[in-house]
Parts: sequence; C-alpha cells; structure tokens
Amino acid sequence: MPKLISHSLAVLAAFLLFLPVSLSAHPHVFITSSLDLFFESGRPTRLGVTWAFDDGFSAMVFEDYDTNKDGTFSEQEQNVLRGEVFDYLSEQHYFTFITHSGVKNHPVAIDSFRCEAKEGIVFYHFSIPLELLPGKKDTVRLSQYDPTNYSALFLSEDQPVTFSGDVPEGLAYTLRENTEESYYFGMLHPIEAVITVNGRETK
Amino acid sequence: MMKKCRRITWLQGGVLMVVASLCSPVVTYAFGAPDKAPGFFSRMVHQLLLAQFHLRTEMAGYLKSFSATQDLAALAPLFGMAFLYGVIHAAGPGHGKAVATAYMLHGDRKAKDGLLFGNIVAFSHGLSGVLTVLCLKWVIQTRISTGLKEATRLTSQISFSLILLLGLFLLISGIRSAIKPEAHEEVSIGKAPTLLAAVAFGMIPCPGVVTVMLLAMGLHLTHLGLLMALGITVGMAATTSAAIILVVVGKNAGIKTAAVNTARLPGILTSVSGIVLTALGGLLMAAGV
Repeated sequence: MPKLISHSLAVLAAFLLFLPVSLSAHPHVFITSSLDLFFESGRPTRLGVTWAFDDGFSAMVFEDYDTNKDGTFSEQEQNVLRGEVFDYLSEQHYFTFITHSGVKNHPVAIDSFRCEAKEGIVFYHFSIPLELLPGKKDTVRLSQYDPTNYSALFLSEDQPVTFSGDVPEGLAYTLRENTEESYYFGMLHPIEAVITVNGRETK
Repeated sequence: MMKKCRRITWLQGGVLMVVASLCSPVVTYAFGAPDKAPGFFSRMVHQLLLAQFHLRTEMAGYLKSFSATQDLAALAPLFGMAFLYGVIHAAGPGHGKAVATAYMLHGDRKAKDGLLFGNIVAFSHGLSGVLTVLCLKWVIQTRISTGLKEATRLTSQISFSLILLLGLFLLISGIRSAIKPEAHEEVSIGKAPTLLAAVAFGMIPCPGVVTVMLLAMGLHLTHLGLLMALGITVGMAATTSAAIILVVVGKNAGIKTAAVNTARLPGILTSVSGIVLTALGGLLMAAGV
C-alpha cells in the first residue's frame, strides 16, 4: 500500500478516536413550537406555548395516556400525563429561555396546561406567566431548546411568534441564531426570537 | 527515508490528535463550556437534525397512507427511508461507536472483524429497542415511557459497568505487556468474549426504534414496524461498522509504517484501548447518560 495512503489512514484512525462524540445531534423527540406573547398595558405578561410532537412520540403518548383509546385526552388523562411527563420540565425551564434587556428570566412555573390530539398528533398548550422588568421598550429574547438535545425543538415555519392583547405600537420580531450561547457539547446554538419596539434593541 | 516517513507519520498523527482532542467536547468541557461553537459544525448539526425530522415525518406519512388505503405502493420507499434514517441517526452519540472503536484498538484485528463487531453492536441496539417495546406492551403491560426509562437505566448500568471493567482489564494487561513484552503474550480477547462485548456495548434500547415500532403498532401494522426497525438497524450498522473499520484499517496501516517492529507496540495500543474504555465507561456512569 503506498506510504501516503497508509500514513493518512493511520492519522485518520487517531483522529476518529478523538473526534467529538457526535458529529450530529441525537434527538429522539421532535417538537414544532409556536409562541404567543400576551400584553397588558403594553407590557408582556404571559407567554403562550404550543408544542406539536412528531408522529412517533405522539404514538407513545397515545399508547400510555389515552387509556380509553378514544383518540382524545380527557381531563383525568391529561392530569396523569401532566404529572408524569410534563411537570418535571420545570427543572429545565420547560425548555424555554427568556432574556429581557440582557437579564435572564427563565421560567420555573406555568399557569395552565392542556393536551390535545388532532389527526394522530399530540399537542401541548401551556402558558408561562412573565415577571419582566418594567419598561415597555425593552428587548425580549425568546428561545426554546432542550440542553440535552434528547428533544429537538423547531420554531414553526408558519407564524412562529405572534402577539396578542394590548400590543405596543411598532412591536416586531426577528429570528436569529444566538452564537454567544451554545448547548449540547457546544455543537448547537439556540435560535432566538428577538422582540423589539421599532427595531431598537436594548441589551 | 524510512526515518523521515516515520517522523512525518508521528508528527502528522501527533498534530491531528492534539487538534482533534482540543475540538473534542470531552476535552473541551474539562476546561469549561465553550462560549461559542464553531459555525460550520452548528450548521451541519442543524441540517442533520432537520433531515432526521423530515425522514421520521415521511415514514409516518407512508405508514398512515398504507393504513388508510392498503395500497402497497405506499410502502415502496419505507425500508430505504428507514435505512437512511438509521445511517444518519447512528452518527450521533449513544450507539457505541466511540466505545467500539476504542475496544478494537487492541489485538490483531482485520477489517472483517470491525465489520462483524459494528454489526453486532448495532443489531444489539436495535433488537433491544424492539424487544423492549414488545415486552412492555404485551408482557409487562406497563407504560412505554416509564418502562423505557427503567429499561434504559438498567441496561446502561450493566453496559457501562462492563465497559469500565473491560477497560481496566485491558489497561492493566496492556501496561504489563508494554513493560515486559517478552514475559507477556499480546493481549487479545477471544472471539466469543469479543462478540459478547459487542452485544454489551449496544444493549441499551434505541428510542428511535421504539418510537417507530409504537407508531406502527398504533396503526395495527406491527409487521411493518418490525420491517422499519430492521431498516433503521441496518442503517445504524452501516455507520457504526464504517467507523470501526476505518479505525482498524488505520491502526494496522500505522503499525506497518512504524518501520521499527517494536515488541512494545501491541501493549501500548492495548493500554490506550484500556484508557479510553475506562474513561468512557467512567464518564458515562458519572453522567448517567
């Protein structure tokens, strides 16, 4: 075997051993997320979140929690589901990360939860109360991700972020990758919705 | 000329190992989490994530279409998609690649050994997922989510403990062999124990296979779920085997080009294998991964 090829193979073998543990992410659950920011008197007070799960995870949820197999989740079934597979997410801020004018304010509680089934897909709808700093024109940055990457969250392509209630004039958002933060062994950056008034950011 | 080639090989290998280890998250996290991830990796990772998501969605679509219409044409791409999903899925962690490649560093290995080993690791992982679902649903009849969590915890403890113990054995044997090569035979674990090691490395149930099985079983298409599980497993086997074969071939090439036939080299390689396995086993147990 030509020496160059054998040298290269030896080098490649050494390289492979020390490569990052993963060249790609490894999620087992895929979530499409939509966010609705609710305003009162021009200040954001609540974040409504809707998660649509992939078919495979939805099948698992139906199997485990649709006990009467009617294709829907009764109030009792939802309570059991919430207690067993949702409430523990408070330890990971419900995969929701909020920064208000540079101050991190990640949620630790929700004030409502509902599980819905539609055409074989499971949806979670939950609401996060916001205690943000005063200031109607401050920048709010929202992102959703699982730091362990067991679940992969994508913002919905169709209206990922909406505003409701007493919305300040000139409010808008942009989506961008936050390269100043990373997760999952530094291999991924969170995608953020940056919400500003009249395009002016405060950090 | 031979000395110059040897210097180049060790220099190339040394530089790349240092660079690669600096890029390795295992090493990187020893010095604290990075503030920024390389843009190229981030983009590539994101694209592979999307690819997995789309493949899963497409497979589900074909299954549901067949369930509704009983049209066999809807099944045509299913195995191929499952295979492709398995190939991409296995590029991620948790499929025994790092452990398997480290293990194959020791002993006199050929490419076919790597192929067999990689296939057994992958089939162990896939079969474990299938058996877990069938057992939880039909035998134990408990919640899949909590049952899978327990099964993963139990098999992880067994697997990681075995990896750690095997690593320690190889480390001690390798050091003894390297110090006194004339007094100790080259350490090479036999074929049967090696295959058992492959089963142990892959025994943690694959959640990807579990969810695909559940989807199919929910549509009363268990046989198709098994077919898709097989496709995913074969795909994972392709990726895992390819990685192991590359390391085995590269290792053998490196030994050949060393030019100096040092009797200590097998012992050194066995020690390296042992160090990496011990470290991986220990880290995995500590992280509860």
